[in-house]
Amino acid sequence: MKYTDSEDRRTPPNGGESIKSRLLRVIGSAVSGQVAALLDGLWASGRFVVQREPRCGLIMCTVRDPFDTPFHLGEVLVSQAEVRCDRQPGCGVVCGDAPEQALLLAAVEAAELLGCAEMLAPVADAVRRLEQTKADHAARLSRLAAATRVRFDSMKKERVDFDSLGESCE
Amino acid sequence: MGYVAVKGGAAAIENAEQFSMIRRAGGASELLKPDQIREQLHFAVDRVMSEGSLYAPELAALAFKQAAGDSLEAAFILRSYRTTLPRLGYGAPMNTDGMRPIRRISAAFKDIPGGQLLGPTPDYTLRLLDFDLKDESPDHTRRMMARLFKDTELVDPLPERFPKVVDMLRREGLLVPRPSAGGKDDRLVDITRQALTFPAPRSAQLQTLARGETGGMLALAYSNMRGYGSVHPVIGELRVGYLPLRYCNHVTGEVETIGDMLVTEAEVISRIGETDGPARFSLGYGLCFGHNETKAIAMAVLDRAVATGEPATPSEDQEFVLTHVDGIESMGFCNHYKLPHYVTFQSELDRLRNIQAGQAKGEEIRS
Repeated sequence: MKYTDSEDRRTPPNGGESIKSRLLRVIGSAVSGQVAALLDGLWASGRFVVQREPRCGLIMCTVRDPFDTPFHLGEVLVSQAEVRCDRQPGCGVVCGDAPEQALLLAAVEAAELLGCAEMLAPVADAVRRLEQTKADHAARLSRLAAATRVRFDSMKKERVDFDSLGESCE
Repeated sequence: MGYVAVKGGAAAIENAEQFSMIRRAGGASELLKPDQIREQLHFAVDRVMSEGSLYAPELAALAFKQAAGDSLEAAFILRSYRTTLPRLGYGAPMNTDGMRPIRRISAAFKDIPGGQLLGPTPDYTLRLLDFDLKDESPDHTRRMMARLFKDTELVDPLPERFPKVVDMLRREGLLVPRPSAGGKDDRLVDITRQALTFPAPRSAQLQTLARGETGGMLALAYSNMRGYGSVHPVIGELRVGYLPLRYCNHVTGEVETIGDMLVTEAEVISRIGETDGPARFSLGYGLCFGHNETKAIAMAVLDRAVATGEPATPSEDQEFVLTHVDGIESMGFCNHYKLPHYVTFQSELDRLRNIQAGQAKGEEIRS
């Protein structure tokens, strides 16, 4: 697989970020039973067929060192599932041993590619709630980390031009 | 001397396994749950993931429980498990400047853009035994957390990204453009699929170190720091944070972020590198799964050490370092000596007796 620097988000015909992309970002915050309930809601339509049962597998994580040399850091456990909504395939891959999450992601992708916005309304609502929960949690942790920031006072200034980095974090 | 088949012992082996289980779980204390291990013994879990070369916190916690806290054994179990799973593919290569840091310090510069973040660390407090932990109560912990979150309510959250400190050195032309390890071989190899050959390409070197055993790497790096080598490291930047994992969806062809991983990254600046051009600093690089600063720093020191043109010490010899840092290999070889060596030892015994008999005969003839 050749990778490019493409953005990891799709823009559906109606504009904005896809539900699948948003769900991927927050699905780890879902509490037990939440994912199963959403799946039950989609399955009730009778339009979904599981093409590939969820399975665990490995993805090799590839990173670049400061000299831009790529190397393999190690493998990550992921779960993968494939689903069809009518004739439209969808694929879900998510970190961890999370079969239901993989199924839900695959189902959402298939339905979204088919343009079934109505069917996905409950998922979109759940995503909005999860986004809020995750944002609150992330902000709390971020503030906690920010509270450990230190500043040094010194009479002697370092001869370093950090402006050359081209960005300020203040 | 032929091979000697051995029969019997199956019942003894089963009983030994049960005995081992009873040692772990037969006491009066409550049995540990993997999620307790994952959350409360996170450094151990991170070490198991890093050395087992598999990012899977729940499985690493389970392996740690199964191994009764033996991190080498747990890493072995985890790495064995990964051989049972299919490789679905490779993640999109990424730079670590996309890391969302929770800790970030520099020992080279005090005033770095964004400031230094101490993050979750016991580094700056005394190593005194905390007897309060004996009767730690969940209520007390919850109250303390609530107070801490309340106290930090008015603190501005961190930016999502921070610039890299070493980028500044690079832009000023103070950094060597590239380490010379592996003869500047930039091939991307996967040591889980290809055997190491020497000189190893840089990608193989970094992958090997990234899954190396913390103690072994520390010992080699320490030998170099103490004088059996030439690296005097200064930490340009040490980061602990979350890296996104990006993977291509084969149905849509889109690259998606499917989760994130906690990693530790160390960039050590070393003495002036011997380059063909102007004098510059050299850089050693360390990156590993989980929060493991000792390993990341040791990795960075070793990365820099093996870039030395003429290795004069073990820690500067790429082959020596890369063939001795893998904990599963070294532990396996060390422990294999517990297996029966009856035939080889019998042979040694016979030779020794023959030699002694010959020596005794010689003594008789001389007297």
